[in-house]
Amino acid sequence: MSIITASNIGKKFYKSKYSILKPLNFGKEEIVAVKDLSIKIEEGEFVGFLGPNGAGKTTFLKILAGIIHPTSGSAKVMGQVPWEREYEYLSKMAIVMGQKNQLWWDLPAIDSFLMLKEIYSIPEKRYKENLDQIVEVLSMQKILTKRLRNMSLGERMKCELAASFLHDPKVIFLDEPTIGLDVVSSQAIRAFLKKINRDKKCTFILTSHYLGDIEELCERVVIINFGEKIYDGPLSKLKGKYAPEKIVKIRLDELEQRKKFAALSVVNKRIQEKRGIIRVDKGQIGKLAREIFDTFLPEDITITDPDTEEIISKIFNEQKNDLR
Amino acid sequence: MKKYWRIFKVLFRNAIIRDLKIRGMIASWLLFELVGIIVTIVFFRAIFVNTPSLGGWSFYQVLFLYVFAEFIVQIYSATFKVGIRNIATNHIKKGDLDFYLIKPVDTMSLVALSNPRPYKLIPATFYFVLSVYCLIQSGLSVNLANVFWFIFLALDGIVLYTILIYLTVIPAFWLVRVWSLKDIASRINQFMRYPAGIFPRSLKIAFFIAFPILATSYIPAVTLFEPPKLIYIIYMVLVTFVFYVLLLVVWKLGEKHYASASS
Repeated sequence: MSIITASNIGKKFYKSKYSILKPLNFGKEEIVAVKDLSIKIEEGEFVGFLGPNGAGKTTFLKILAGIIHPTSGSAKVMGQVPWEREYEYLSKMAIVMGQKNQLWWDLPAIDSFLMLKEIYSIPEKRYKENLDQIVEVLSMQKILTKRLRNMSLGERMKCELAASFLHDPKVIFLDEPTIGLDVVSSQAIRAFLKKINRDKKCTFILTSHYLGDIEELCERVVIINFGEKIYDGPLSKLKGKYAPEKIVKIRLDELEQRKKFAALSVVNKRIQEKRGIIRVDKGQIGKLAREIFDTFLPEDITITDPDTEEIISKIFNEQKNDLR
Repeated sequence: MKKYWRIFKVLFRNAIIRDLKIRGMIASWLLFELVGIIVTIVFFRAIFVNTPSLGGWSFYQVLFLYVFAEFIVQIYSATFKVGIRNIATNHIKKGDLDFYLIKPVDTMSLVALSNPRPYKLIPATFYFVLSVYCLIQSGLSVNLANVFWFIFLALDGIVLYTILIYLTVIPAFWLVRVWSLKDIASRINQFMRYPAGIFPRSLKIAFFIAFPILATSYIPAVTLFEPPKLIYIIYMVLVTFVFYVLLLVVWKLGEKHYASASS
C-alpha cells in the first residue's frame, strides 16, 4: 500500500482586485496554484519534484504536510488526512524549508533541539542516540551551542535538518534544502539525506532548483508546471522521452579537422569554441559513430546524453509555446 | 499540560539569558513604567481633591484597581504578549506559522508561549506589592473567602484577558497586512483600569458582554472589596468559557484560510 496517495488535489488562491484607483471593485482574481494533481508514493521512495518558480511544487508539499488546506481533492499520508493535523500524523512527518527557519532564532541549536524533544515527546535515550548520530554525520559538534542568529547559512541548514530528524519521521518533505549553499555544504547534506533514506527507509519528497540534488538523490521525478503534473517516472526515462538524441562532441584543434567535420554526412552539427557538436537520433548513432571514429582520433570524441537541465528547460519552453 | 510547562521552561530560561544581555534597555523600560505609575498617582490625587469617590470607589480602591489591571497586563506581557502579537506582525504575513502548525502540540498555545519577556515580571512584582499596599491603605476588611475568590477570579481574569487579546489578532488570517492589530490590545486595556461605575450603560454592556475586557480586572477587584457573589463567579467562568470556544472556532477558520506565504 502506498504511503502517500493524493487524488485530484487542487488549490486556488484568491487575490482581491480592489485598488485605490478602483475602489468599488470588490472582485477577486483566481490564481490556480495546483490543478488536479494525483500521485502515489511507496514507502522508502525518494521522489524529486521539479518545476519552474510558481509551478505549484511548494504549495503541493505544504498541502501534503498539512500546512494548508486544498481547495479540492483528497490525500492520505501514512493513512491520515494531512490537513486534519492529527498529532499522530504530525509526530511521524517533518518538513524542511530552505528559505524558512523552524528553529528559534534566539536560541542555541541545542536548546531548540531540547524543545523539540519536549514537543515530540522523544524518550531521552532515543533523543541522545539520534542527536549523536546526526551530529556526527553532519559534523556539527562545534555549532551546537551557537545561537541560530550567529550561524552561517550552511550551519543553519545543518541544524534545520538535524531538528527535523530527531523524532524519527517516516515521511520527510524537503523544499529546496540546499538553496544558497556552497558545494561542500550541499554535498554534506546530500550525503546525509542518502544515508537516512538508506538506513531508516524514510520516504522523501524533494523539491529543488538544483538538478544536482535531484540527479544524485532521486530515482523518480515528478515534473510540475502551471500546477499540473506533466511527467512522473524515472529520471532515465525522462531523458529517453524528451531527449531521444545523443550529443557527440569532437575536439577540432586543427584546420584539417574542421574541414573533415564540415564534410561529415550529418545535418545537425555546429562548431563552438574549437569543438564540433552533433545532435543525432539514438537510432542513427551507430552509423555516425562508424563515420566519426574512421575520421577522428577516439580520444577527441565524447558521446553523451543531453544535460537534465537542458531537458527540463526544453519541456518548460515547449509548454510555454503551447500556451501561446 | 506538563509538556507545555517544560517547553515554556526552555524558552523562559533562554529569554532570561537574553534579557540579562540587554540590561540598559530593560532599566529604561522599568523607568518608563515607574514614571507612568507616578503620573497616574498624581493624576488620581488631583481627581480625588475634587471628589470623595469615583464610581463609588475611594482613592485607594481606584488605585488598587489600576495597579491590579497593570499587574494582569504585565503578567500577560511576560508570558504571551510577543508570541500572540507575532501573529499580526510575522506569522501570517511571512508564513512563519508553518512550523507551528506542523508540531504535534496545540498551535495556539505554542505560538503564545514562543516568546516570553521575563523582565516584565519585575514591573508585575512592583504592581503586586503596590496593590497590597493600596489594599491595606483602603482600610477595608478582607477575609479568607475574599482572598480565595479574588485569586481564583484574578487567574480567570488573566486567562480571559489573553483570550480577548488573542481574538484581536486573528483577523490577520484574512487581512494579512494588519500590523496595527497588535496595538489594539494596548488601547482596549485602558478600560480595565477604572471602576465600571464611571462608564455609561452602553459601554458597560459592550465591555462586560460583547468584549468583556472590563470583567478581567473589575470583577476580581470587586470580589476582594465586597462579599463574594456567586453570580460574579458564574459569570466569569461562563464568559471565559464562551470566549475560549469562540477563539477556538475562529482560530480553526483562520487556519483553514491560512495561505502560508511562499518560501
